[in-house]
Amino acid sequence: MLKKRLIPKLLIKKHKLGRHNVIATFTSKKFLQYVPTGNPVDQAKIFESQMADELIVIDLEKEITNYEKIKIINQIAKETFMPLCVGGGVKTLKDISKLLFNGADKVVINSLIRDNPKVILKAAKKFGSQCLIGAIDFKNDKFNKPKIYDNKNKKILDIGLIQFLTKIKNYELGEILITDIDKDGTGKGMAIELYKKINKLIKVPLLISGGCGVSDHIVKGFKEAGADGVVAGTFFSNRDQNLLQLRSALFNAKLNVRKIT
Amino acid sequence: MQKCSSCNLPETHETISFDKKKVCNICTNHNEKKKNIDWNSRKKELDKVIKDHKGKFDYDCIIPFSGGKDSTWAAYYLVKEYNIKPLLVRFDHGFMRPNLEKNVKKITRELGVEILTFTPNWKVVQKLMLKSFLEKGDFCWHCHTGIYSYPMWIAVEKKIPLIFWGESPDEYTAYTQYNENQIYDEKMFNRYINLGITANDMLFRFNDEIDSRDLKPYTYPPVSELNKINYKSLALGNYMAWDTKKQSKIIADELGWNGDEVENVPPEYSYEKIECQMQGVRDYIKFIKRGYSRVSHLVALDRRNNRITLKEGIEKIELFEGKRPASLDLFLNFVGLSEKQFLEIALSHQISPYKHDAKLTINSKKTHDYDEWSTDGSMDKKISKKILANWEKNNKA
Amino acid sequence: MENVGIINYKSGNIESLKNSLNYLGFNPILINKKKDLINLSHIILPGVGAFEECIQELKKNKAIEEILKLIRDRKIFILGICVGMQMLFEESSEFGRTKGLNLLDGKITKIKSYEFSKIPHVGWNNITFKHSFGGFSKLRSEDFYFDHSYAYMNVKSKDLLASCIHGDKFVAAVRKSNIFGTQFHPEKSQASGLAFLKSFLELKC
Repeated sequence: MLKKRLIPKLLIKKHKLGRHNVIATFTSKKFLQYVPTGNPVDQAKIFESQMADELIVIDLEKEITNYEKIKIINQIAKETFMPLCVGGGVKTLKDISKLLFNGADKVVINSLIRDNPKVILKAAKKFGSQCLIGAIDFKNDKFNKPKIYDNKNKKILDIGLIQFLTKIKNYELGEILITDIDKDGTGKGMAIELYKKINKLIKVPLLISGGCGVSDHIVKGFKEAGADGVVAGTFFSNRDQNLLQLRSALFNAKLNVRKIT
Repeated sequence: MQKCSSCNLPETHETISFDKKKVCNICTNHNEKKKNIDWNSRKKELDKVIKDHKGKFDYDCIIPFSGGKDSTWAAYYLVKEYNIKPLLVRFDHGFMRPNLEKNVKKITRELGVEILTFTPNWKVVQKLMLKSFLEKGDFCWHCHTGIYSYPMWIAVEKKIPLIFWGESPDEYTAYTQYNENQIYDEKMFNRYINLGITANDMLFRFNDEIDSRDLKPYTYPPVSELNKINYKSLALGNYMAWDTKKQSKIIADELGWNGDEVENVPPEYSYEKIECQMQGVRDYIKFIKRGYSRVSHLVALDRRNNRITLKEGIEKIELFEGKRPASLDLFLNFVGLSEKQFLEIALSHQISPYKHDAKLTINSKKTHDYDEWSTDGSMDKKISKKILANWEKNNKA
Repeated sequence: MENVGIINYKSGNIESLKNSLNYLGFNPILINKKKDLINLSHIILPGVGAFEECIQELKKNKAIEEILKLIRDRKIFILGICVGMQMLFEESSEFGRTKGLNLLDGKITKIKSYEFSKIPHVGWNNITFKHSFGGFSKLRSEDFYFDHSYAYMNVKSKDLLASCIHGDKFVAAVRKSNIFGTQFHPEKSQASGLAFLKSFLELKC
């Protein structure tokens, strides 16, 4: 039986350490506060040793096909034997191609879905839709309705989340990743009811993110919302947790996860 | 909370899982794997490893050593059984107890071995303790990484390829499973030793407020350096049926090794974790996060070796666990936290489904040697305030 | 260090495959022309993406005729991965009907999607071996990483090596003499994947 997936998230961008400019991983809180947590390659190795099901790497600077970022992706790919999903500013078919030829197994696209959906179909024909993950970030407006968030231009759009997902239902995306900005990095739990609704709406596997604080939140994400995968950043970097412990906790909650060690 | 029907460990124990009969995987590993291992064949492998290395280098092997029951047994066994010339390498985490120091003197003189002790920069240790307590709910990052990495640097620098650790982690958890030929390398360092933070990661977390050179003792050496010396990092616990009770008695009888009074642990376990002044605080934090602690571990081991009934075990646990240790005052002074802040931080790392009720906590008395422990090196409040402020900014709602 | 050939065409990410081979102590050689095949005993046909696109690109490889000859004469072991495995068959129905290399009997079709088993089939799933293979004993169940929407659905095939269930049962791995194929990605399946690759690479003629 297909197992539920646990996917750590690495957010990267350039950072000044001493006199050097290096690329670091960061935790994020509500997409506003970013705090450095480490070296991307070290972090990837840690997750590989803890048998993460997949790894997502997103460039916060939206230049993932940049020379230095590609170098990091190459290094991570050399150290890991699990699927690597990469994104952050992917705009063209050439970008997607470049990432897939440099160690990425799947490409995460976000604003591209709104700005230039034709690229999606071209990429699906050439590489297969299974290598495309559509990432959608949402934020509640003042009426508490979830609206699409444009992270490139840092603003809430007047497009309802459900409305948008219905619109893109037939786009050639292999998976959908939904991130709750209001809950991001807070550890206060995920928007389970909303995710449950979304899971029934979309045709492809659902990955959810935003708000994991204790393993029970993740159990609910799988059991109640029916998600196929949970993507977490702060949960792994800033809590007394690791993937092996989490997997045991999920196993004990009678969820189907990969065999422990 | 779900608990193992055999050893009583709860579901909050890392890597634990339960079968249909509610028996945990650690018990099962012990009963099926450990009991069915052909220890004779493993001993032959050990013989071969020793033979391949003996007399060929400046030292036959490195034994990472604390003076506690496991590393003392490792040193005793290897010297007596094989007449080797080891180099004992000791990472001084800053909290060695007086009785432990006496033990180390006795043991090293009795066995006739060389010992190298390294004491890291205390001011750096303080910062690391506070930071890792805040970000991972565990203040011992410097100790976990230092004990595991520092001896490897000595191996590289002195060209000693063979390293013998003591017990196998499989006695307590299921990160590995009594595997034949198990090695303890960078992968294991990343899997369960460094709390998901390498020394390089720690540098980023401190954002320039720490000299990268100060983190070398906590850095695992590059694989290329270790491969140059053809390193072999093994645990003695994979070559013999480890039995801490039996082994502690032997080293007590043969070497004059002494157990000690341990904070909030029943006196009959005086062989356990005698080497750290902060052991009581560590246990207390674990209890706040996970609802169980050291006594549960000890009972679990006794249960697996059929030395105690479940009822007796539970009685011990209820009598001794969960108390506030006297050493907490020392800890708070060393990291610059108030007790209120301490509790808040520990509670932020709770593991579901456990919910801690601080009101039920009772205090416990000081150990007999408490007044001999150093109180020097209080935390510079300017530094702790800054580290705490950064954490609060990012972690409070 | 032994050489292992990777058939080179625009098939997507082969970095992971190269890394895995290096890790196992083998030297990956890219096969672009006939000369590259000299002294190789094992070759791998990777494949990610659309069947039609892959087959078109594969046929541009100058070594393909020689490769097919060596396979038919049983002078070389071949392992097809994901679309690489699918291409070994007669044809696929992805984006219309496209012919494959016809080394194995059977046609590739779309996996049926159900409420509780969505398409693409992506993630870790356990496969059950029908025959023992290398370090994998018969009936042993192990998790591997999959990411596909099409598969060989005929689990009654005599070439079945291992099966998997996602809604319906489908063929996870095939073996016909010197021809092997896996629908899953061994180069992305951590320990089990490396063990599978090792078993393949240790086969002797």
